[in-house]
Amino acid sequence: MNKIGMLDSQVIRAALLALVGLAGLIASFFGVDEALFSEKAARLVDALLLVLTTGSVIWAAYARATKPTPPITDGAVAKTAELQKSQEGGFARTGALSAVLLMALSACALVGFPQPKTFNDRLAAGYATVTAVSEATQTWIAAKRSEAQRLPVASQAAFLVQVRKDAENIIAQAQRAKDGLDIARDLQGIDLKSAEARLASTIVLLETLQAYLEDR
Amino acid sequence: MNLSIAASLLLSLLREAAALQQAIAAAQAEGRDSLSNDEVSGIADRAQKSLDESRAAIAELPQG
Repeated sequence: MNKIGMLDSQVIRAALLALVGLAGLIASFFGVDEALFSEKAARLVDALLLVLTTGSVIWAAYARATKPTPPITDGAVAKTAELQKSQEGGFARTGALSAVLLMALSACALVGFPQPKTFNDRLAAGYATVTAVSEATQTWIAAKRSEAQRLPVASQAAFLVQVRKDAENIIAQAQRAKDGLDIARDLQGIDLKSAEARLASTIVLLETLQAYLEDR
Repeated sequence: MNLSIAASLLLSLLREAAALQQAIAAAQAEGRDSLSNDEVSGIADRAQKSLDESRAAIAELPQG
């Protein structure tokens, strides 16, 4: 996508206008308008500047939401092209899926689905997360194998060796989390406080693992 | 559809969360306030089985 001039962007124009309003308000703060106008006129000027600033911000938000947003710098052109490329072929966007997940979880809460609260329920949630991480890793491996087939033959093996290393690391961490949950389960009947501590630390490990996967 | 690992993880988490919620709801419908130890064991076994399947998938990849 070609870039447009900086001042052709409605958002930039609105931002500049808001800046003018803000500059006026700052000047007013230091008493410039009171030195120039009567007290009543100064108040009117302040009110006008506030309206100008607020209106500009609303205009910027409206323009960003409803108007085309062509890039205005070379860096933005490159990033826009990269974004368009990543969206080709029906790639599911993480942000959109996160929103769907959030909506689904909110919907669960709204319809009164129970949330895991007891020790056993939270333990089960931990195991379910291990399963999810493992299944996602299998999907990822399959996707990477397909991706490797599109690479030059000479570089396929090296690519898949790296995938193997990553996958081994992920599954080793997931196994560690599963073992931690097993220990928490065994401790439950002996020392609930230690079991709770073990469960909490394992959940932190799982969250770290999820964050690592989300970065892949 | 080509899914990224993050998208795949989110879908798996959603599926697992839904199954867990159903199990908890079923336990509550039976008058229990929590999943039983046997039910937790079943979920733990499924996690281990999935980890073993992942190892099998990894074993098919070339070693460095």
